[in-house]
Amino acid sequence: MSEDEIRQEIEIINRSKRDPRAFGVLYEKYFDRIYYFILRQTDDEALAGDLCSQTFVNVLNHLHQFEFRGVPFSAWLYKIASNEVRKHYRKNKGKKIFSLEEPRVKELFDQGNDGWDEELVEKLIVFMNDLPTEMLEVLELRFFENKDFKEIAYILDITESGAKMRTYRALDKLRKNFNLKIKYDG
Amino acid sequence: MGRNEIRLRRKRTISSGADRYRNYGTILERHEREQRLKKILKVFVMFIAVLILIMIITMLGRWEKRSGNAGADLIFGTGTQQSRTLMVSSSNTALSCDAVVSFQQRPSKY
Repeated sequence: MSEDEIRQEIEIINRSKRDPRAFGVLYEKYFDRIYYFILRQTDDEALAGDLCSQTFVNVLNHLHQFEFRGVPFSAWLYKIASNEVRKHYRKNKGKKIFSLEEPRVKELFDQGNDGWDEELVEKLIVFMNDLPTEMLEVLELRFFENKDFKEIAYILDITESGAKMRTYRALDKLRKNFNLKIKYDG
Repeated sequence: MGRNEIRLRRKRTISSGADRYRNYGTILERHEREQRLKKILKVFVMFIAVLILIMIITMLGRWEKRSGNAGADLIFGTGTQQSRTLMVSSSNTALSCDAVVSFQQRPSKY
Protein backbone atom coordinates (compact mmCIF):
# COMPACT_ATOMS: atom_id res chain seq x y z
CA MET A 1 0.00 0.00 0.00
CA SER A 2 1.46 3.35 -1.04
CA GLU A 3 1.86 6.29 1.32
CA ASP A 4 -0.59 8.27 -0.77
CA GLU A 5 -3.27 5.63 -0.32
CA ILE A 6 -2.65 5.48 3.42
CA ARG A 7 -2.94 9.29 3.63
CA GLN A 8 -6.19 9.21 1.68
CA GLU A 9 -7.61 6.56 3.99
CA ILE A 10 -6.66 8.56 7.06
CA GLU A 11 -8.42 11.59 5.59
CA ILE A 12 -11.58 9.53 5.08
CA ILE A 13 -11.31 8.18 8.64
CA ASN A 14 -10.96 11.69 10.07
CA ARG A 15 -14.00 12.75 8.08
CA SER A 16 -15.90 9.64 9.24
CA LYS A 17 -15.24 10.53 12.88
CA ARG A 18 -17.45 13.60 12.34
CA ASP A 19 -19.84 12.06 9.82
CA PRO A 20 -20.12 8.22 9.81
CA ARG A 21 -21.68 8.31 6.33
CA ALA A 22 -18.25 9.13 4.92
CA PHE A 23 -17.05 5.70 6.00
CA GLY A 24 -19.11 4.08 3.22
CA VAL A 25 -16.15 4.30 0.82
CA LEU A 26 -13.92 2.22 3.10
CA TYR A 27 -16.79 -0.18 3.81
CA GLU A 28 -17.17 -0.91 0.10
CA LYS A 29 -13.41 -1.25 -0.29
CA TYR A 30 -12.84 -3.72 2.52
CA PHE A 31 -16.14 -5.58 2.84
CA ASP A 32 -15.17 -8.50 0.55
CA ARG A 33 -11.78 -9.02 2.16
CA ILE A 34 -13.17 -9.05 5.69
CA TYR A 35 -16.12 -11.24 4.68
CA TYR A 36 -13.87 -13.89 3.13
CA PHE A 37 -11.43 -13.68 6.01
CA ILE A 38 -14.29 -14.52 8.39
CA LEU A 39 -15.77 -17.11 6.00
CA ARG A 40 -12.45 -18.94 5.96
CA GLN A 41 -12.67 -19.23 9.74
CA THR A 42 -16.33 -20.23 9.97
CA ASP A 43 -17.24 -22.00 6.71
CA ASP A 44 -20.77 -20.65 7.09
CA GLU A 45 -21.91 -17.87 4.77
CA ALA A 46 -24.76 -16.60 6.97
CA LEU A 47 -22.58 -16.59 10.07
CA ALA A 48 -19.76 -14.88 8.16
CA GLY A 49 -22.28 -12.23 7.01
CA ASP A 50 -23.45 -11.63 10.60
CA LEU A 51 -19.94 -11.46 12.03
CA CYS A 52 -18.84 -9.19 9.20
CA SER A 53 -21.72 -6.79 9.90
CA GLN A 54 -20.89 -6.84 13.61
CA THR A 55 -17.25 -6.14 12.77
CA PHE A 56 -18.16 -3.00 10.80
CA VAL A 57 -20.61 -1.83 13.49
CA ASN A 58 -17.77 -2.19 16.04
CA VAL A 59 -15.43 -0.33 13.70
CA LEU A 60 -17.89 2.59 13.47
CA ASN A 61 -18.49 2.54 17.24
CA HIS A 62 -14.77 2.75 17.99
CA LEU A 63 -13.59 4.83 15.04
CA HIS A 64 -12.79 7.77 17.33
CA GLN A 65 -10.21 5.54 19.07
CA PHE A 66 -8.31 4.72 15.87
CA GLU A 67 -4.78 6.05 15.70
CA PHE A 68 -2.37 5.48 12.86
CA ARG A 69 0.47 3.30 14.18
CA GLY A 70 2.44 2.55 11.05
CA VAL A 71 0.17 -0.24 9.82
CA PRO A 72 -2.61 0.22 7.24
CA PHE A 73 -6.19 0.77 8.36
CA SER A 74 -7.08 -2.68 6.98
CA ALA A 75 -4.96 -4.28 9.74
CA TRP A 76 -7.23 -2.64 12.32
CA LEU A 77 -10.26 -4.08 10.50
CA TYR A 78 -8.68 -7.55 10.47
CA LYS A 79 -7.91 -7.24 14.16
CA ILE A 80 -11.53 -6.41 15.01
CA ALA A 81 -12.79 -9.20 12.70
CA SER A 82 -10.38 -11.66 14.29
CA ASN A 83 -11.59 -10.69 17.77
CA GLU A 84 -15.20 -11.09 16.63
CA VAL A 85 -14.48 -14.64 15.36
CA ARG A 86 -12.65 -15.51 18.58
CA LYS A 87 -15.58 -14.18 20.61
CA HIS A 88 -17.97 -16.35 18.58
CA TYR A 89 -15.94 -19.53 19.23
CA ARG A 90 -15.55 -18.72 22.90
CA LYS A 91 -19.31 -18.28 23.21
CA ASN A 92 -20.21 -21.44 21.30
CA LYS A 93 -17.32 -23.58 22.58
CA GLY A 94 -16.89 -25.30 19.24
CA LYS A 95 -13.80 -26.33 17.32
CA LYS A 96 -12.26 -23.55 15.30
CA ILE A 97 -12.76 -24.10 11.59
CA PHE A 98 -10.19 -23.26 8.95
CA SER A 99 -11.76 -23.56 5.56
CA LEU A 100 -9.10 -23.48 2.88
CA GLU A 101 -9.68 -23.24 -0.85
CA GLU A 102 -8.19 -26.16 -2.69
CA PRO A 103 -6.98 -24.13 -5.71
CA ARG A 104 -5.08 -21.77 -3.38
CA VAL A 105 -3.60 -24.65 -1.41
CA LYS A 106 -2.49 -26.24 -4.71
CA GLU A 107 -0.75 -23.00 -5.60
CA LEU A 108 1.15 -23.03 -2.34
CA PHE A 109 2.15 -26.69 -2.46
CA ASP A 110 4.28 -27.76 -5.34
CA GLN A 111 2.04 -30.60 -6.47
CA GLY A 112 0.98 -30.95 -10.06
CA ASN A 113 -2.37 -32.36 -11.02
CA ASP A 114 -0.85 -35.84 -11.04
CA GLY A 115 0.65 -35.55 -7.59
CA TRP A 116 -2.46 -33.99 -6.04
CA ASP A 117 -4.51 -36.99 -5.12
CA GLU A 118 -7.10 -37.63 -2.42
CA GLU A 119 -4.57 -39.39 -0.24
CA LEU A 120 -2.30 -36.38 -0.18
CA VAL A 121 -5.27 -34.11 0.60
CA GLU A 122 -6.25 -36.37 3.51
CA LYS A 123 -2.67 -36.38 4.74
CA LEU A 124 -2.50 -32.59 4.55
CA ILE A 125 -5.77 -32.15 6.46
CA VAL A 126 -4.67 -34.59 9.19
CA PHE A 127 -1.34 -32.83 9.45
CA MET A 128 -2.85 -29.36 9.64
CA ASN A 129 -5.36 -30.51 12.25
CA ASP A 130 -2.41 -31.17 14.52
CA LEU A 131 -0.97 -27.68 14.12
CA PRO A 132 -1.74 -25.31 17.00
CA THR A 133 -4.35 -22.60 16.36
CA GLU A 134 -1.71 -19.85 16.72
CA MET A 135 0.32 -21.34 13.86
CA LEU A 136 -2.73 -21.76 11.63
CA GLU A 137 -3.75 -18.15 12.25
CA VAL A 138 -0.31 -16.92 11.24
CA LEU A 139 -0.22 -19.16 8.14
CA GLU A 140 -3.67 -18.00 7.10
CA LEU A 141 -2.79 -14.32 7.40
CA ARG A 142 0.58 -14.76 5.72
CA PHE A 143 -0.35 -16.98 2.77
CA PHE A 144 -4.09 -16.52 2.27
CA GLU A 145 -4.38 -12.83 3.14
CA ASN A 146 -0.87 -11.85 2.01
CA LYS A 147 -0.14 -9.82 5.13
CA ASP A 148 3.38 -8.85 6.12
CA PHE A 149 4.79 -9.74 9.54
CA LYS A 150 4.26 -6.26 10.96
CA GLU A 151 0.55 -6.43 10.13
CA ILE A 152 0.25 -10.02 11.40
CA ALA A 153 1.84 -8.97 14.67
CA TYR A 154 -0.61 -6.06 14.98
CA ILE A 155 -3.67 -8.21 14.11
CA LEU A 156 -2.80 -11.05 16.49
CA ASP A 157 -1.43 -8.78 19.21
CA ILE A 158 2.00 -10.40 19.24
CA THR A 159 5.49 -9.15 18.50
CA GLU A 160 6.85 -9.07 14.97
CA SER A 161 9.57 -11.56 15.88
CA GLY A 162 6.88 -13.79 17.43
CA ALA A 163 4.93 -13.75 14.16
CA LYS A 164 8.09 -14.63 12.22
CA MET A 165 8.95 -17.43 14.63
CA ARG A 166 5.47 -18.96 14.39
CA THR A 167 5.53 -18.85 10.59
CA TYR A 168 9.00 -20.33 10.43
CA ARG A 169 8.09 -23.20 12.75
CA ALA A 170 4.83 -23.96 10.91
CA LEU A 171 6.58 -23.97 7.54
CA ASP A 172 9.38 -26.11 8.91
CA LYS A 173 6.85 -28.69 10.05
CA LEU A 174 5.09 -28.61 6.68
CA ARG A 175 8.34 -28.85 4.72
CA LYS A 176 9.26 -32.10 6.43
CA ASN A 177 6.09 -33.74 5.15
CA PHE A 178 5.14 -31.95 1.97
CA ASN A 179 6.75 -30.50 -1.09
CA LEU A 180 6.39 -26.82 -0.26
CA LYS A 181 6.55 -24.13 -2.90
CA ILE A 182 6.28 -21.22 -0.47
CA LYS A 183 9.32 -19.65 1.09
CA TYR A 184 9.81 -18.17 4.50
CA ASP A 185 10.64 -14.58 3.69
CA GLY A 186 10.92 -13.06 7.11
CA MET B 1 -8.33 -35.26 17.18
CA GLY B 2 -6.95 -31.75 16.88
CA ARG B 3 -8.32 -28.59 18.41
CA ASN B 4 -9.22 -27.26 15.00
CA GLU B 5 -11.18 -28.49 12.06
CA ILE B 6 -9.58 -28.08 8.67
CA ARG B 7 -11.94 -28.07 5.72
CA LEU B 8 -10.98 -27.94 2.11
CA ARG B 9 -13.23 -26.05 -0.29
CA ARG B 10 -13.14 -27.57 -3.75
CA LYS B 11 -13.98 -24.32 -5.51
CA ARG B 12 -12.91 -20.74 -5.01
CA THR B 13 -15.56 -18.73 -3.21
CA ILE B 14 -17.50 -16.52 -5.60
CA SER B 15 -17.29 -12.81 -4.86
CA SER B 16 -21.03 -12.35 -5.54
CA GLY B 17 -21.76 -14.47 -2.43
CA ALA B 18 -20.73 -11.59 -0.21
CA ASP B 19 -23.10 -9.14 -1.93
CA ARG B 20 -26.08 -10.59 -0.10
CA TYR B 21 -24.66 -9.29 3.17
CA ARG B 22 -23.31 -6.00 1.91
CA ASN B 23 -25.53 -3.18 3.18
CA TYR B 24 -23.98 -0.05 4.59
CA GLY B 25 -27.39 1.48 5.36
CA THR B 26 -28.14 -1.26 7.90
CA ILE B 27 -24.67 -0.92 9.43
CA LEU B 28 -25.15 2.84 9.81
CA GLU B 29 -28.60 2.32 11.34
CA ARG B 30 -27.24 -0.20 13.86
CA HIS B 31 -24.36 2.14 14.71
CA GLU B 32 -26.75 5.08 15.31
CA ARG B 33 -29.03 2.89 17.45
CA GLU B 34 -26.09 1.69 19.54
CA GLN B 35 -24.82 5.25 19.97
CA ARG B 36 -28.29 6.36 21.10
CA LEU B 37 -28.46 3.47 23.59
CA LYS B 38 -25.00 4.38 24.84
CA LYS B 39 -26.12 7.98 25.41
CA ILE B 40 -29.28 6.87 27.25
CA LEU B 41 -27.21 4.54 29.43
CA LYS B 42 -24.77 7.37 30.18
CA VAL B 43 -27.61 9.71 31.20
CA PHE B 44 -29.17 6.95 33.35
CA VAL B 45 -25.86 6.25 35.10
CA MET B 46 -25.40 9.98 35.74
CA PHE B 47 -28.95 10.20 37.13
CA ILE B 48 -28.30 7.26 39.48
CA ALA B 49 -24.99 8.80 40.59
CA VAL B 50 -26.68 12.16 41.35
CA LEU B 51 -29.50 10.33 43.19
CA ILE B 52 -27.01 8.43 45.33
CA LEU B 53 -25.12 11.66 46.07
CA ILE B 54 -28.34 13.41 47.14
CA MET B 55 -29.25 10.43 49.35
CA ILE B 56 -25.81 10.48 50.98
CA ILE B 57 -26.03 14.25 51.61
CA THR B 58 -29.55 13.91 53.10
CA MET B 59 -28.49 11.02 55.33
CA LEU B 60 -25.43 12.93 56.48
CA GLY B 61 -27.60 15.97 57.26
CA ARG B 62 -30.00 13.88 59.31
CA TRP B 63 -27.20 12.14 61.13
CA GLU B 64 -25.62 15.51 61.90
CA LYS B 65 -28.94 16.82 63.21
CA ARG B 66 -29.46 13.76 65.39
CA SER B 67 -25.92 13.85 66.76
CA GLY B 68 -26.38 17.62 67.43
CA ASN B 69 -29.52 16.92 69.53
CA ALA B 70 -27.77 14.18 71.40
CA GLY B 71 -24.93 16.61 72.13
CA ALA B 72 -27.40 19.14 73.49
CA ASP B 73 -28.98 16.47 75.70
CA LEU B 74 -25.57 15.60 76.97
CA ILE B 75 -24.87 19.26 77.78
CA PHE B 76 -28.23 20.16 79.30
CA GLY B 77 -29.18 16.72 80.53
CA THR B 78 -27.48 17.06 83.97
CA GLY B 79 -29.13 20.43 84.51
CA THR B 80 -32.57 19.01 83.97
CA GLN B 81 -31.73 16.14 86.22
CA GLN B 82 -30.55 18.59 88.88
CA SER B 83 -33.71 20.61 88.55
CA ARG B 84 -35.69 17.38 88.73
CA THR B 85 -33.82 16.42 91.90
CA LEU B 86 -34.45 19.87 93.25
CA MET B 87 -38.11 19.55 92.48
CA VAL B 88 -38.27 16.17 94.15
CA SER B 89 -36.43 17.41 97.21
CA SER B 90 -38.64 20.50 97.42
CA SER B 91 -41.75 18.39 97.10
CA ASN B 92 -40.34 16.17 99.81
CA THR B 93 -39.86 19.22 101.94
CA ALA B 94 -43.39 20.30 101.11
CA LEU B 95 -44.62 16.86 102.04
CA SER B 96 -42.76 16.91 105.26
CA CYS B 97 -44.10 20.40 105.92
CA ASP B 98 -47.60 19.13 105.21
CA ALA B 99 -46.94 16.26 107.55
CA VAL B 100 -45.73 18.66 110.19
CA VAL B 101 -48.76 20.82 109.65
CA SER B 102 -51.11 17.89 109.77
CA PHE B 103 -49.34 16.54 112.77
CA GLN B 104 -49.58 19.90 114.41
CA GLN B 105 -53.17 20.28 113.39
CA ARG B 106 -54.35 16.84 114.51
CA PRO B 107 -54.03 17.19 118.27
CA SER B 108 -56.01 20.37 118.15
CA LYS B 109 -58.96 18.40 116.88
CA TYR B 110 -59.03 16.09 119.86
